[in-house]
Amino acid sequence: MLSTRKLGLGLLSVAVSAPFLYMVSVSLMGESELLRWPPPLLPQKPTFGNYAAALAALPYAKVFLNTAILAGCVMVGQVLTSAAAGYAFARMRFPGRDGIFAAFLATLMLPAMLLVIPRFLLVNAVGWVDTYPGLISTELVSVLGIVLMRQSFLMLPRDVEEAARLDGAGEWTLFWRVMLPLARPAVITLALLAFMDQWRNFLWPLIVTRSADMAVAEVALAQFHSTYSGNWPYQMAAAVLVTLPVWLVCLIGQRYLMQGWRITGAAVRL
Amino acid sequence: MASVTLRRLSKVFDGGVQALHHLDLDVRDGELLVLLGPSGSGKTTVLRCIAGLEEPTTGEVVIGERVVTHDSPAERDVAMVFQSQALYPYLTVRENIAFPLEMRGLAHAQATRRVLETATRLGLQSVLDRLPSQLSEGERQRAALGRAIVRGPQVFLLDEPLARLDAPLRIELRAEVLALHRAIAATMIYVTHDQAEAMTMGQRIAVLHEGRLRQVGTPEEVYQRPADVHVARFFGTPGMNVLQGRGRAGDKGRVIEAGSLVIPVELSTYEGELQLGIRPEYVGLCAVDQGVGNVDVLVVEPLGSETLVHLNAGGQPLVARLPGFADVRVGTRVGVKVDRRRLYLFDAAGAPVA
Amino acid sequence: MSPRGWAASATAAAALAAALTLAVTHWIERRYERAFAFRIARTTAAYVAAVTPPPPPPPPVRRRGRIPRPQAPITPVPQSPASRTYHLPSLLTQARGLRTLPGWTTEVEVYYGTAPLVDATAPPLSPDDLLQLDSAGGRWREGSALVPLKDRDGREIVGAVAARPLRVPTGPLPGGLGFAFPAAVLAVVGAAVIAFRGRSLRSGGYVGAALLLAAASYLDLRAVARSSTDRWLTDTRRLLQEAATRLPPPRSRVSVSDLAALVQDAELVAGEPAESAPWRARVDGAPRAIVAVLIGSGRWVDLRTVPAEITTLRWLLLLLASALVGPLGILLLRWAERTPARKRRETAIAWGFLAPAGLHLLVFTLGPAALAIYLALPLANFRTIVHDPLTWLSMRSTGLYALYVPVSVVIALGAALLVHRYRVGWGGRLLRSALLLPYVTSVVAIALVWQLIDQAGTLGLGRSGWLSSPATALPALMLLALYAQLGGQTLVFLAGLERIPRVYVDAARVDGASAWRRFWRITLPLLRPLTWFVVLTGLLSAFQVFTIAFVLTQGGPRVLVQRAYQLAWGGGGGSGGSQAFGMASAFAILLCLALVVFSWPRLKLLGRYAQHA
Repeated sequence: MLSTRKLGLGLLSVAVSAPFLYMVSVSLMGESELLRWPPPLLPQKPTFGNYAAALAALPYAKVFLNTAILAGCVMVGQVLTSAAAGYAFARMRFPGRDGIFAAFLATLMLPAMLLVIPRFLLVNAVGWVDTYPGLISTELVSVLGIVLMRQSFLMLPRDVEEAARLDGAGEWTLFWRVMLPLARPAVITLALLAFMDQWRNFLWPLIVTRSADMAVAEVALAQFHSTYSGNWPYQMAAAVLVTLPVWLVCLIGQRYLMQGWRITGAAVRL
Repeated sequence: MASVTLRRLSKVFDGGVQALHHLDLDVRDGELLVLLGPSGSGKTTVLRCIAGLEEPTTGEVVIGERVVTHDSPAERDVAMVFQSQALYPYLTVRENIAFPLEMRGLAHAQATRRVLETATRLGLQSVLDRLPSQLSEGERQRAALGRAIVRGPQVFLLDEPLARLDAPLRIELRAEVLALHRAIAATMIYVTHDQAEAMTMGQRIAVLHEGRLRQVGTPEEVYQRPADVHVARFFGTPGMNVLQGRGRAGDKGRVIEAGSLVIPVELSTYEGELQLGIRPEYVGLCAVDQGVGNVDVLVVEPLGSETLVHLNAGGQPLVARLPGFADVRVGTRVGVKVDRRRLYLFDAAGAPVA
Repeated sequence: MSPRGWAASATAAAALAAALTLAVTHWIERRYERAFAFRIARTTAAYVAAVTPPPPPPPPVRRRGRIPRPQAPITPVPQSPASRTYHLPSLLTQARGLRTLPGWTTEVEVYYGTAPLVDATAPPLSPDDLLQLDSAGGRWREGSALVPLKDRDGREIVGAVAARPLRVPTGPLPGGLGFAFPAAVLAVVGAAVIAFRGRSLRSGGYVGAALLLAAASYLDLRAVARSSTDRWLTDTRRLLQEAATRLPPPRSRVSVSDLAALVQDAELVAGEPAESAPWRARVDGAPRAIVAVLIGSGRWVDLRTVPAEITTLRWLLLLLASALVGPLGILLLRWAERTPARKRRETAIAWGFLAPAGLHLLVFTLGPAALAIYLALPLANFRTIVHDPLTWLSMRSTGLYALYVPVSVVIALGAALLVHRYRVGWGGRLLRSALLLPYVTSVVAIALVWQLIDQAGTLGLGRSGWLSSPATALPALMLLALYAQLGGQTLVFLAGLERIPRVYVDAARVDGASAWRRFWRITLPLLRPLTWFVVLTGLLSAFQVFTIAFVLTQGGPRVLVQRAYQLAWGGGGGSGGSQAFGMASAFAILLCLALVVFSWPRLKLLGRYAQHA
């Protein structure tokens, strides 16, 4: 009984991580190795040449910078707007609160495609196509982030808030110096989720950016794919390079990510 | 320091629950008043109305000479110690104590000095740079006290500050709070549901029951001369026995019948339903038919210095408190004696009868 | 606040709303007038171009020197060869003739170069005006529509035509806003009467007044739009009749197609004799404004165009919104009056905290959603989409694709149960990290690995090219999606399992329930809401799948979002026009409606789930 379960566990681990191991493995192969039959699983002579070549072909520094700017700005923006809105929804009483929250939730029903065109027209009208503001501005608020923050603020005890009021804290101080630090785990979770979501954002950057100078990770990788479609080791090296930052972030923040699931659910973007 | 006056204070919560009914209360300048009541009696609501955390539905809150009913908590210059301590978990003890000073824009040097003074007074010097999670329960409660006293507010509000502590620590800290009160001569309102604590701490005790103020007086007054049956029941361990009975004219003058007891009472003006109160220490046992009635022994609790005997007096519970180990057997039938000078009589609504 | 002060504020709010509504109405009416002016200017330009002959052949003495021009300085000098430009004297006659046409309603001016021809004393255009016309095709200048007058081949700009719309009074009052203005006065007076009469207010009264105002403004607006179409028809009718007699010989009978060239955005078909006034009718189910034109003895044609008033409905929303500003303001005033200061303060602060997110949603979500609806109109777009087989093809492949969701949910639940037993220890932690991998990895990278596995034949199935063969691409896509979603879903279930209090399971164990029974009777019922949540979110994201399909199956099965993308931006990356955006928006709205109908419980579920989390 126990051994079957352990076997299942092992199988699952291998099945889940195999494509990634393979990705790294192929990225170390020579260009012609994959042409043999049967195709090898491991490189004969591991080489880092593909990485050097991919780094040269993919303007990695530029792409990395663009994606980092996008993900960083959106992370800060989403944390601030979600925390403020979630705080109001969770800890304040005002007429229409529940109705407005329901309206916020209702926007989740709008498919991305519906919004993409008018958003593009809007961004185009202000002349932001192919600029950082155009790339970033539409992503600055996340309704799921608001739900997450609201939830975590709901769970905080009333006592500390009231103690701070008696200590003479104003509304802003209360939020910024007391409540936000108390909700720190949720803030970190949201920041990580926002960062990773933006690192993997594809549709919007594809539409709103034009020049190679503005390409972000996913778009650049897709372009790399169509340019070097035959050369798999190249592409795999590029894929590893593009994914590496997210893997690192994930490794560091795994604990917080697991926590985020409690509320946000499966919001895998495909 | 300042007095606190509540005038006709009422609070109705959003759900329609009326927590307070027309409360009038004067807390004198420099006094330690204990607000006592069972849970759900509204004592915490009173405290929160004074602090400004709740807005009363009607009535006024006056601190010193100032009507503060609609002021924000920050404007009232009151400090509050919470049962949960409510320390900022991400700040050190030093920062926690300094927080109210910082909020009031006190100069840094002055704030540092005051924090140090307060910490010294409470014996917290050695843990100033620790986080609340690294403190013992007692140290945490001291830190919470420190945060309250550091800015020298007009009024201290303490909301069951010791309820979560274990017994020895509670007794230790109770003494410390009393010493603190003497040292800074502050106006303190201390909320508790523990009547023993109330008796030991309060200069005066205000008893709340179901949102109404039943009695305000010294510990002796509320124990000896309870204003109504609720107050009477609340004090003492165990509380007063209250038997439902009626007065009538008997063979040898007037008597009160309560369960299986028939007690002769000098009662000229009242006949009909009433409630008879006897403290357990004034209930004695004797042989069958020798006392004012016969009862069945249900449970015997020997506690060492005394023995509690739970009795069934014709369907009504009665507790007797006997000194030392008493030789009473469960299931036997015994007679009951009562000290007739120590009887309390209340009418059906609970108000005392002459 | 005193009752009088309160009433005064309420009246002020009503007045403000009335003024706003009038301003909005005026602005929209001006839009229609401008559109009319541009249209009649274009038609006039086409008419002038068609009826004016080229200059006569130059005299043979041409080389000796230039013929002095009849008019004062004309800049820039038209560059066209002689045969393509106009005979200036007859251009002058044509232009001046316009004013004397009976029934002509518009003030027009024809410029040759920069010089006005009709009213010679009018100020000339500046050279810049002409240059800007070149790039913009037409612009609004000093209260009139200015459109280019091209040479006879329609290549170069040789001049311009300006048209100034004359205001047409509508309703019972002279001077425009004939319905709206009295309604506005009525609404404000009504609000004042209700407010000053006493504080037992009837919001219904205010709302009624506001609705009246909006309705009257709409009537005005519609009348202006209608009259703009009527005037274009009337004026164009005159032009066509003139053109029929003046179109240059050799033809003896003017052909309908020659005349149709003058009115490019309207239809000209053979018709019956009728009155000179325009009328409305439905042609092939579509509404049309029609006027009968006599173009020769006994020859009648119908001039048909889309009536402008059918586009007015979209403005009604704006009018309603601005008219309701008043009742809303009054409602706000009432609320402020009834609410204690402290609560007012708290509300204001809460709105302050909500403002950033709220404004962003307004600008970048609700605004665009409304814009999408606007873009998608007219309804013909929806009809086209519904009749497009590609829509149903993409719907079908997306529907089939979504079938992977139940499978992946079942597998994820099983995996979660398995992993849950290994909460501690490095094995469990490693597996959790492994499950996180596909969730956090770039979607494009995952898609690439799969394509690699597919093309290199790593699985030993041969170099199948499953992803590129139409028959197998969809299952291959589903397999990939299942893989990519599995980790995330497992982790959701894991989080759910961790929240189930141990006592339930322990109690069942004490009762002697087997592991199987414990799962069916305890774990699964407790996880049911979460399972629905995972299924619904999975289906929703499946219906919006884009990235993997876009990267992997160029030309393979088109899923819904891909089809919308294709409609908007074409197959590659070229920018689409407004027509394309309209189609794509209509498509996306249909998709949205389908999603809402299909997943309405999701919101409730999400709410309930969030409450319990």
